[in-house]
Amino acid sequence: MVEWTDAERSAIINLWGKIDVGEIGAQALSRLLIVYPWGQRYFQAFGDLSTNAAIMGNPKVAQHGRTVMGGLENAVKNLDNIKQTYAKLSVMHSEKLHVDPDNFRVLAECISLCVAAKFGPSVFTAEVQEAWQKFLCVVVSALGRQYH
Amino acid sequence: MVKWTELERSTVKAIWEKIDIDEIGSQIWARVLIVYPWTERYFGSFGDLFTITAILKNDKVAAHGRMVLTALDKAVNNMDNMKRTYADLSRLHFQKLEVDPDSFRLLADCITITIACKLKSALSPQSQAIWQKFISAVVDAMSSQYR
Repeated sequence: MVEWTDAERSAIINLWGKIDVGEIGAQALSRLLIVYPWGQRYFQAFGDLSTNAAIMGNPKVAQHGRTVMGGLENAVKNLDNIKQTYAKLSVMHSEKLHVDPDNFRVLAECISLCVAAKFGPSVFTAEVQEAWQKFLCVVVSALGRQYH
Repeated sequence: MVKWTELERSTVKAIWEKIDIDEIGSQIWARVLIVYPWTERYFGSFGDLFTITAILKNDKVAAHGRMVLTALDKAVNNMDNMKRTYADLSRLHFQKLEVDPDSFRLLADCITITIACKLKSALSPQSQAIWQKFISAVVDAMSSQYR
């Protein structure tokens, strides 16, 4: 089981408290689809993803970004039990959605980047970055756990 | 050889022009040592790295960060020739310093995060894509002499 120091817990929870999930979720998913365009294959039902502008203006992308952040909120509220919390979501991504689990890592990277860009170095300090990236690593691992 | 469009070249240069090597260099290296603490094993001679405060105040950490960014400047100015530009540096890291090449990817991650902190929304998704292509090519060039 993952161990969190008190400093890490409060860094994660404080940072989460500042995050506007609608804003960051939409940005992170847009960046994923632009920076790693093969990710678009999972979103054929989202309509126009043909240009960067289309992706950034696409309401389904924004909505899905919000959904993903909602999932992340569950993890923030269950730091000591992330594996269990994500078991069903992991099975769904593996068996129903057939998502390559490497995409979780790449989306986590985009989320971190959006958070860094939003809050700058005085909030997203090295210490906060360490806790946040450790947190996202655990989430990514939990999401990949039920794959076989 | 990596191919670069005109837009990619100008985007990388535009991002690089906004980077103050002194300011950003020290931040980047502190982030690597704090976020990926196992990298401290390479820096036994740097003195006190025992706490986050010590790392953030350590002059050798700051100097090393500046040195790394000065080397990155070479890549910005030799985008068509990165492998050759970095051949000696790659060999040094492999044969003499014995650095795990996965560390280059971790460093690239911290560089990108630090730049995002600095540039904020000016690092648009398109710019991010171009920057990440560039830094991936640098990581490849640094790994090129490993076998």
